[in-house]
Amino acid sequence: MKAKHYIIALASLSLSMAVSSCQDFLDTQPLGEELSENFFATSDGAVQATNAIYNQLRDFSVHTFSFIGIASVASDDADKGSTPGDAPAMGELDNFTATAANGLLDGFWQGHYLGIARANQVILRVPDIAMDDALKARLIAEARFLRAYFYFNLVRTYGGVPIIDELPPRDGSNSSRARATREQTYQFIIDDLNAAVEVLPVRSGYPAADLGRITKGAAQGMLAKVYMYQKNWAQVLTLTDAIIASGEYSLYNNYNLLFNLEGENSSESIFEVQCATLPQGGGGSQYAEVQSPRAPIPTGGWGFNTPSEDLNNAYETDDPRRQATIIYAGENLGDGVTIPTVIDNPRYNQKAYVRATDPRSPNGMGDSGKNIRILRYADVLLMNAEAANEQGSSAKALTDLNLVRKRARGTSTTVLPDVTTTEQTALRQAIWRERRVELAMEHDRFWDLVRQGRAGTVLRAVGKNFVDGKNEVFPIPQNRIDISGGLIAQNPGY
Amino acid sequence: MSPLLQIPPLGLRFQRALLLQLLGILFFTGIASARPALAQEVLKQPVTVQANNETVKALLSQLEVQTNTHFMYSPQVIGATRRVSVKAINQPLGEVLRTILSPVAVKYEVVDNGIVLQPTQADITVAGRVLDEKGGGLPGVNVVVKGTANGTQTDAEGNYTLTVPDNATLTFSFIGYNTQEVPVDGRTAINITMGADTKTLNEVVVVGYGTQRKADVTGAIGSVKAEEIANRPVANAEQALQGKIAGVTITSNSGAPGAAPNIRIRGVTSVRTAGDDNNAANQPLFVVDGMFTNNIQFLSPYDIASIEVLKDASSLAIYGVRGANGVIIVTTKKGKSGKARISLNAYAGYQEIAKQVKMANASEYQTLLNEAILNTTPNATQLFRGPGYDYGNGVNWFDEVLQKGFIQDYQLSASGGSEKSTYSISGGYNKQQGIVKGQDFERINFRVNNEYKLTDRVRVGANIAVSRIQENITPGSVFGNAYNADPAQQVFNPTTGNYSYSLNQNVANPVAQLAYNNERNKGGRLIGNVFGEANLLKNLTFRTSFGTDLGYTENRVYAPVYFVSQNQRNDRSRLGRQTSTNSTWLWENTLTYDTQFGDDHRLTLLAGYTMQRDQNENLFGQRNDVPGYDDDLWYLNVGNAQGNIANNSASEYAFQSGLARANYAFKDRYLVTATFRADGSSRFSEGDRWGYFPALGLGWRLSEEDFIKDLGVFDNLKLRASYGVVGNVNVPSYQYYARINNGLNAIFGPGESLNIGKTETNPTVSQIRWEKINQLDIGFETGFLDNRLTFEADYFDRRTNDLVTQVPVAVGALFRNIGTVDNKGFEFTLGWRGDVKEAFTYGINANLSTLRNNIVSLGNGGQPIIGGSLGNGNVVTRTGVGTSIGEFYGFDVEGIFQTADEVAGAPNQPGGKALGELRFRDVNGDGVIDQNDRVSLGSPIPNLTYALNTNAAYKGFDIAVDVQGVSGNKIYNGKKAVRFTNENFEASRLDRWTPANPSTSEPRVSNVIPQVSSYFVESGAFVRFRTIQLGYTIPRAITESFGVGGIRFYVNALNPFTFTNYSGFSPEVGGNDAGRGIELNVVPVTRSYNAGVNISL
Repeated sequence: MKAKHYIIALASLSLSMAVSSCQDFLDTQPLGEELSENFFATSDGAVQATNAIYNQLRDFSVHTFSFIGIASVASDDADKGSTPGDAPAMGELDNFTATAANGLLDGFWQGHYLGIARANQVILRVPDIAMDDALKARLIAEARFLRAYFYFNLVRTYGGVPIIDELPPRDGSNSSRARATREQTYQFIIDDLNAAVEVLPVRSGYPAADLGRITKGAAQGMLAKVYMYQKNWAQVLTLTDAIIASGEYSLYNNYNLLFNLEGENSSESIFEVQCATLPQGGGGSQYAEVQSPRAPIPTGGWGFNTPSEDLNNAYETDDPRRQATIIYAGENLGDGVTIPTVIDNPRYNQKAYVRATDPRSPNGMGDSGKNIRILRYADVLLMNAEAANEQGSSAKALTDLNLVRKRARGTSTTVLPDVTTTEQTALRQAIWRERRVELAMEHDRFWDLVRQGRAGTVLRAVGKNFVDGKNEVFPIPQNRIDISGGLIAQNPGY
Repeated sequence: MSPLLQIPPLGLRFQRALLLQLLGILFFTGIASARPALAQEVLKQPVTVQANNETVKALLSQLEVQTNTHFMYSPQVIGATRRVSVKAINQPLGEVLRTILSPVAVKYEVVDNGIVLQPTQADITVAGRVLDEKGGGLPGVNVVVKGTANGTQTDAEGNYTLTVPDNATLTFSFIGYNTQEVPVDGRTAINITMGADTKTLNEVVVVGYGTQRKADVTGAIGSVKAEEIANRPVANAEQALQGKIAGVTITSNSGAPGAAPNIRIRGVTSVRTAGDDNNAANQPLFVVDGMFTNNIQFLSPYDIASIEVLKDASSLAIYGVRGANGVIIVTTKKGKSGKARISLNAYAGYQEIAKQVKMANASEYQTLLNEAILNTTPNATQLFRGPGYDYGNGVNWFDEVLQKGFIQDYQLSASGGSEKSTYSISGGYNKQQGIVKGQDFERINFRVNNEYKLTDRVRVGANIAVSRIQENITPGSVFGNAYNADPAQQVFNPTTGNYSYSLNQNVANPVAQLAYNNERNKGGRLIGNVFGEANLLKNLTFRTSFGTDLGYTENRVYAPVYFVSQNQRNDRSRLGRQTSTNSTWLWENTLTYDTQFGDDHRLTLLAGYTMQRDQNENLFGQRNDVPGYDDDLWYLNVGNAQGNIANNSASEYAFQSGLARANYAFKDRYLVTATFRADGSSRFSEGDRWGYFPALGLGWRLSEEDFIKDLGVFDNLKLRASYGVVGNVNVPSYQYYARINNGLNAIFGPGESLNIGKTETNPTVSQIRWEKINQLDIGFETGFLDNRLTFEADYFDRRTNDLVTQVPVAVGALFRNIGTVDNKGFEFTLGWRGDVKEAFTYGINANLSTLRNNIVSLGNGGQPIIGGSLGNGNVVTRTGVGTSIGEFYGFDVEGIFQTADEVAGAPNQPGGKALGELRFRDVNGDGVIDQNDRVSLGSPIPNLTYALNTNAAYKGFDIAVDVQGVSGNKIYNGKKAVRFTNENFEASRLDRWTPANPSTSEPRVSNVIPQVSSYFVESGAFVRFRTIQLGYTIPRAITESFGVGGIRFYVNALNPFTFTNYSGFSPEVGGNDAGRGIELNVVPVTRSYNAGVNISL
C-alpha cells in the first residue's frame, strides 16, 4: 500500500507543477540580444546606430574589390592586375564584358543597399528618440549624407536605381521598387546632402574624439561633386567657394606623405573612410590587401588595380606625383621592402600601399588600417577651377589649378610650371588632365570620364571594348532583377 | 464370459492398446473427426450401478456387462483392488468412469475394441537443448508444461531440465521466435530448434509514447531491427539506416569522419536559403528511449535494439509540432532476466576515397591554361609561368593530401537480470581516421539501461548514455584546393625547402594548409532519463519520466606564424577557443488505460502532459601571440591580452504540451487510432504560441474476415488510411522581435578608437508560425505463404502549408510563412524469407519509393525563391510555383559554336558568343538570348529511390549484400563552374573544342565566369552497393569447448561499388534545400573495408 501513497503523491505533484508553471513557462525571450524597440529609445542607440552606417563603408562590398573595379580598373588609369586569368569578374569590368551575372556588380549593389538600410534606421527612427536635440539633428544629418553617398555611387554605377527610403515593412511584403530615373535619383541625393549641409558642424566644430565623422565641408564637397555630374556649375562654384572660405582645409604640404599613415585625416582630408589597426583586429578593411604588390614581400597582397602604362605616361616630366602614385618593379620602398624586378605586373598602386613599418593587424593585411580617401581638398579646388572655367572665370580657375600644381611640385623649381592659358577649352583640358594625375588611382577616373562625356573616345583609345550608350553604366545584377520580380528593368544593351 | 480372461496377459495387452493409440495418432488423424463421435456414443450409454465398498475390478466387470464393452487395463496401475462406493442410476458411462477413476489419476479412452484404462501421468525428467536457426544455444527460452504454471528457462547454452508428466506437452516460447508445442510422449531428451517468428502480425512495434501490436497499427511505420543495423561498420547509426526503409532518404554528403548524413523522410518540405536552420528545417526528430534529441551520434549502433521510423500523420501527430519531418524512435537494448549475456564486437579496417576525379597533369594544365588565358583575354602576353623545370606529370595533389584512414571499433556489453531487476551495460570505443591527412574522429561511449520492480505495481528505471568525442578537423577547403591547385608546382620549393606556391594562381598549397592546421573538437554528452511506472489500477498505468540532454563542445583552433605566399600566410599566431553547452530537460507524464471488453473490443487510451526546456550557450575567446612549440600552451591566458576577443551568445526555448490518443480494435479487424496533441512553443509570439495537431487513422484487417480467410491465400491483408496535421517548429525563433545586430563598429578620433556600432540589420516580420503539414496516407499490407512473402504499399500526400522561407526583399531577406509545398509518392516494400532447407536460409527485402515534390503556391506574388550560390556570382537554383524545390535554372545548351558563320548568324547571348563556346537555345524564339530564355534544368530531388537488401546463410557462413539507388535527379557540377584564378582543369577538359578538335560536347577552355547552363547539369542517378558482408560462425561444438558461446568472423566492404554517369567524386551530394545537389568540393563519401569479430559468452 505504500506504493499507492507514492503514486498519489507523485501524481499530485505533477499536476500542481503543471498548473503552476503554465503561466510563464513559455515566456522565454531572446538572450543576449537587444530588442529594437528598446535600443531605438535611447540616445546611445541613436549614436551607435549611426556608427553602424560608417561601419558599412569599410565593408568588402562597398569600398574594396568591386569599388576598385568599377571606379578604377574600368578606366584608363588602371589594369586589372594580379595574374592573367585571376578574378575573371574583375577582368570583365576591365574590358566592359561584364554581364548581369557579374558577382562584383551584385556585391556592390547589395553592399550599398545594406548601407542605405542602416541609414534609413537612423533617419526614420532617431527623430522619435527623446535626446539632446543638437546631437539628434547631427546624427540624422550624418545618416543623410551617408545615404546620399551610397546612392551617388549607385547612380554613377548603374544609372537610376530604386529609391528605398523606408524601413522594411513589418508585414513582410516585398519592398522592391522599380528604378527611379537618373534625375530622380540625383534629386534624392541632392535633397539628402542639402539637409546634411544645413545641420552638420564644420570640421573644427566636432570634438576631437569625433574625428572622421561627416562634416559640413564633406557634405558641401560631395554636393558640389554631385552638381558637377549635373553640370550645374553655379552650384559647384558656390559650394566649393564656401568650403574654401571656411578655412577648415588646406593642401597638405607633402603629396608623398599624403597617402601614408601620417597623411591620414590631414588638413586636406574632407571625407575619408576611417580604418584602424587595432590590437584585436577588426578595425580595418581589405582595401590595401587587394591592391598591394603581388610579390613575396612582407607587405604583399593580391595585386589588383595596377597603374596602366597610359597613366604612367600621363604625367608631365618629373611630376613627383608619379613616384608617389606608382610602385615600380625593383623599387625600394624605403620601409625595408624592395619590390622584385621580376614580378607579375610592372606597376602597383602606391596610394593603397601599407608600409611594412606601419602597425599590423593580427588578422594580417586583410584588416589593414589604411584610411580610404574619398574626398580631399585638392579635388575641391579642381572642382572650383572647373566650375569657374565653365562660368568664364578663367583667372579664378587658374588660381585653383596652380595651387594644386604648386603643392605637387614641392620645393622643385623646374617641374610642373604654372598653367597660364585662359582659353576655356584648353583650360578645361588642363584641369581634366590635372584631375587625372592629381587624383590618379583614387577611384575617380572612370566616373569622371563618363561625366566629361568622353569615356568612349578615351577608353577605346586604350583598347577597351567601350560601347557608347551602353557602357556608361554597368548592368543591373540579374539576381536583383529576379528578386524584384522583374520590377527592376535592365540597362539598355545588356 | 469373463472378458478379462479373454485378454492376453496384462503387459502384452497394455502394449497393444498403446500401439493402437499410436497407430491412431499416426495414421488415422485423417478421420479423427469421426472418432470422437463414436467415443461419445460409447461413453454416453446409460448405466446403473450401486456399489458399496466394492473393488474397482468388480465394478468394471459390472459395467462391461451393462455396456457390452471391454476394459483393458493393468490391475496394479489402476489399483483394481481398491474398494469404492458408487451410486449411479441411468448415468452416462463416462461420468461413472470418471467418478471411479479420477481419484487415482487414471484416465479412460475409447478404442476400437474397448476402453483403455491407464494412468494419466507419470512424472519424468526431460532435459534438452533449444537451438536457434543457426544452431546456437538459445538462452532465456521459456519452457512450460502446457496448461500449467510449471516451467523453466533455458540457460546461457540453451539447456533446460524440467520434471513433467510423461504425457505432457511442452511449450517453448521466446520473443521473436515461433512458439512451439512438443508432446513429451515419455521421452526424456527433447531438443528443438526454434524458428524465427514468421507471424509478424504478433510483432510489437514501438510507437510514440507506447507500443502497439503491429497488426493494430493504422499508420505507416518502418521498422529496423538490431541485426540489420549492427551489420554496418559505421560510427553513426543513421548511416546504417540507408536503404532500409521505403521513403527514408539518407544522403551522406560528406566523407569526413563523424559527419552526420542528411535524412529526409517522404520528401522535402521546407526551403531555407541561408543560415544554420537549413538542415534542421527538414531533419526528423529523434526519440531515444523517450528522450527527444536531434542526432544519435552519441550512440553505438550495437546498443540499438530497434529503430522505428514514423512516417504518416496517424503515427506522427502524437509528436505535434515536432512531427512534421518524421520521427525516428530508437530503442536501446534492455536487459532480460536470466543469466548474464556478454558480447564483444570488434572490427578494424580502413577507408579511402571512393573515386578520384582525374585532373590535368602539369603539362596538360600548362596547355589548357595558356588556351584559357588567351580565350579569356585575347592577345594576353603573360601566359603560363612555371619555375623552369620539366613539368611532366607534376604533382597529383589528391595523392598528397589524401590517405587511407584506419578505422577501429570495439564494443563490449553485458545484460541480464533477475525477476526484480534487469540491467544492460555497454561501453565502446570507435576511432576513425578520415581520408584527408590529419582528419580523425574518436568516440568513447557508455550506456546503462536498468530497470527495477519495486513492488508488483511499481517499476523504476534509468536509461543513461554518456559519450565523449574528440576529433581533429581539417579545413573544408583542403579538398577543393587539391582539386584546384597547380599541378606544375611542387609541394616544396626544391631550393629553399619551404612549401612552394604557384606563380599562376592564388590557390593555397593544400599540403602546407594541412601542416599549419590545428583544429580540434572535444565534446561530451550525457543523455538519458529516469522513469517511474505504476499500475494505478489493473489496466491503468501512470508513467513519468524525466530526461535530460547535456552536452558541451570545445573547439580549439590554433594558427601558427607561417608564410607560404601572399595568399597563404599568418603573421601572428592566433588561438581561438570556443565552448558551446546545451542543456535540455524533458519531463513527460502519461496515463495509459488498456482494456478489453467482451471478446471483440480492445481499447487503449493515452493521455499525457509534457514540458521541455532547451538552453544553449556559446563562449568564444581569441588571443594572439600564443607560442606554437607546445600544444600544452594553447590556452588563452598564455596569449596577448591586448587584442583579446570575446564573444558570448545564448538561446532558450520552452515547450509545453498535452497529448491524447485512443486506439480501438473491434473484432481484431476494424481499427481506429485517434490522436491529438496541443503544443505551446515559446518561439512564437503570444497569440501564435499554441498549435493543435489532430490525426485519425483507420485500419481494416481483411484477413480476419471469413470471406478472405476462405480464400486461404492471405496470411495478412490490411487496408489502412490516415489523415492528420503535424507541425514543423524548426523555423527561426523570436522573429516577432526586431533585434539589434552587434559588432558594426566604427573608427573615430585621432587615436583611431573603436566606437560601438549596432543597428537593426535584418528585416523582421511581426508574426511567423510553425509550418503545418497536412498528410494523407493510404496503405495496405499483405502476407502470403505463411507470411514468408510480405508486401506493403503506401500512397502519401504531404502538403506543407505556411511554408517558412527567407524571402529576399529589396534589401536583405526575411523569414515569412509563405507558400505551400506538396510531396506525393508511393512506397513499396517487398519481403521474402526463404524456406529453411538443409541449413540454408536466405531473405530478400526490396523497397522502392517515388516522390513528386511540387510548389503549389508561393506568397509574395508567387515570386520564386532563388538559391544555390556557387560563390562566383552564379546562383543556380530557383524554386517557383509548379517546380520542385531548388530546381536548377539557367540556359539550355544547344551545342558548341563550330564555324565563324554560325557565330555571326547566332543571336547575341550573355557572356558573348565565340567559336568553341557553348551555344544557348533561344527558348522563346524571339531572336535574342537573354534572361527570358532561362529554363528549368532539372531537379536535385530524386523521384525514385530504391534499395535491395539480401542475406543468406549456410552452415555457419553468412552473406549480406545491400544495394541502394536513386534516379531522376540532377547534380550541378559547381566545382567545374567556379574559376577565380587559373585553377587546374579536370582531365576531361582535354577533349575541349579547338579548331583542330571540333568537339560538340566540351566547349573551349576559358576563365570567364560561365553562365548557368545545362553544361554543368548532370544526371545524379546512381546504384551503389552499400554493404557486402561475408561472415563465418565457428561451430558451437568447437567454441563451447573453449567456454565461449559463439564466435563469428566477418569481412565487409562499405560502398565498394557505385554505378553512375555522374563525373564528379560522388553522386551523393547534400547541400541545403534551396541549394542542394550542387557539388562544390566537399570531402566525398568514402569506401571502407573492414574485418571484425562478434563474440558472445
